[in-house]
Amino acid sequence: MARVRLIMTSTLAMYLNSERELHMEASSVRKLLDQLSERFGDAFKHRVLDENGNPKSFVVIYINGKNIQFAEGLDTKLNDGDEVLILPAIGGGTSKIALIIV
Amino acid sequence: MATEVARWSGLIKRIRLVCRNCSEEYESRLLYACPKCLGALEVKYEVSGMSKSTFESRKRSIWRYFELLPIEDPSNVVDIGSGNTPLVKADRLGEELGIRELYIKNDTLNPTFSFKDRPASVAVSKAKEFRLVAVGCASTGNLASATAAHATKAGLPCYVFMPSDVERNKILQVTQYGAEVVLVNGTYDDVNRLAHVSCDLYDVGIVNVNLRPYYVEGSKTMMLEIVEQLGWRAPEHVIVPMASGALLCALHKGLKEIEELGMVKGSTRMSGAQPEGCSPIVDAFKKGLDYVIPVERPTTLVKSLAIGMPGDGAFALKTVRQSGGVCESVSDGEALYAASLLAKTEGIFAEPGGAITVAVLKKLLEDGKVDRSEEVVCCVTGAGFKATEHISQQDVRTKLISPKIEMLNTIFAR
Repeated sequence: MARVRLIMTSTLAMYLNSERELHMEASSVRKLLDQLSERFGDAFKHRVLDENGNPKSFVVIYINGKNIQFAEGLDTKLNDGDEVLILPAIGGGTSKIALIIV
Repeated sequence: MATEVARWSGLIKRIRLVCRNCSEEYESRLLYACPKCLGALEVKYEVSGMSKSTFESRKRSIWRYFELLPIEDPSNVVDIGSGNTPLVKADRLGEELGIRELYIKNDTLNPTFSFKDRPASVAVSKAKEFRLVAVGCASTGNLASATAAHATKAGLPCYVFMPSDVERNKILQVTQYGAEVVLVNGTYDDVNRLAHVSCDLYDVGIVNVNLRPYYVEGSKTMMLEIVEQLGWRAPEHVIVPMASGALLCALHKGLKEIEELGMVKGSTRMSGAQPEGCSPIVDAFKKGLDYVIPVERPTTLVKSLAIGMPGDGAFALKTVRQSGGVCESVSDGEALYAASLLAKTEGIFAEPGGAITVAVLKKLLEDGKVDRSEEVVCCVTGAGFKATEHISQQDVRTKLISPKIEMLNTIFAR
């Protein structure tokens, strides 16, 4: 079990009614997300995870500045002192109708 | 809830933010991710009383399309002359490539010499409207100068973050506007991450992060101009450089908006161009994926397009497919050749990231993916002086003579 520092955006923290930085213990990214889901419930799951429990395509998780997509994804192991950052990706998604004539 | 925001020339405009993911709507404010689902937000307009003459009667700049830009109070507009760039009928280049109806949208002629002046003008104006005390950006080079120039015009401090290996002239240029220039030993995606955290921790408007929904609106003016320059007609095919994919999506959004207003009809194929050393959107297109697999370490000389994790990649893919366009990549050598060809045929000196659309057009013509009778607009987005490292000494051909009349014979004699 590794002791890590979790950092999230202030907006996400506000909606989770949480501190922006949390100290947590987990052995992998998957285990860390499980803990966050348990701790914050739907407020976390609906924002960060998709229906399969994976991070949404427009959410990016970094370990010490490295995107987990370039590591082992959810199975990326955590080590003592790691800094885990959760950011919404900028852009992304698909556009809806953008203009209404009144 | 909509906020009534502008009354200008008797017209009414309302602006909202809409989540691309869950469609939740929000009042216009400093927000870039949906509070409900963290999806990206984009600007939606409600307008009335619009006609072509509304735009035509105004001075030529991006701000002639004010009702389709997300600024509420015209007094907040920060304008250093962005937009109104030529749409050049490129007959000589067209002849060289074997295509009859070729146009170049020459966005090298913006105030800081790239298309980025369009979104920067809008984003810095919005920062002023939000009463932000500073602005900044994450940049592969061109946005840095565009943001810094508009910031200095607005009287705002500016912090730009760039990878340390961007072209020297881009660094030189941005320092001249008085910005705080932060070079990061890492990729653009590292730069983007730091900029992202910056606007979360500090009271700063990072134009392409927390001001992004507003920022991207500026880019669509390129398409509005193209349509207006063609006599209010949609072009058959537009080829756009892709880094994050946001420009391509913005051009498409602009076209859809003026279609909704009944100002233009017809469909436009939208195609995207990337360098082979960083082509995540093209790779996804060719594999038939609807998502993008990021590139960790881009390996291209075309640094302005070296974004390994393109924020709007999936959206760009969908836009290209729905329009019947294609995504294609070219080698650095092909991009450099296209830059040279563009300069030698049309007198337009572009950086490889801008001229890459010409390189992709050449490839698409050779592969039969573009018909030689099709009307094509290549968006050329940045000037050649910004990226001179790629110009080899062999290409810098000069003759040195002593100041004697007889020496002229060595030049003109055949």
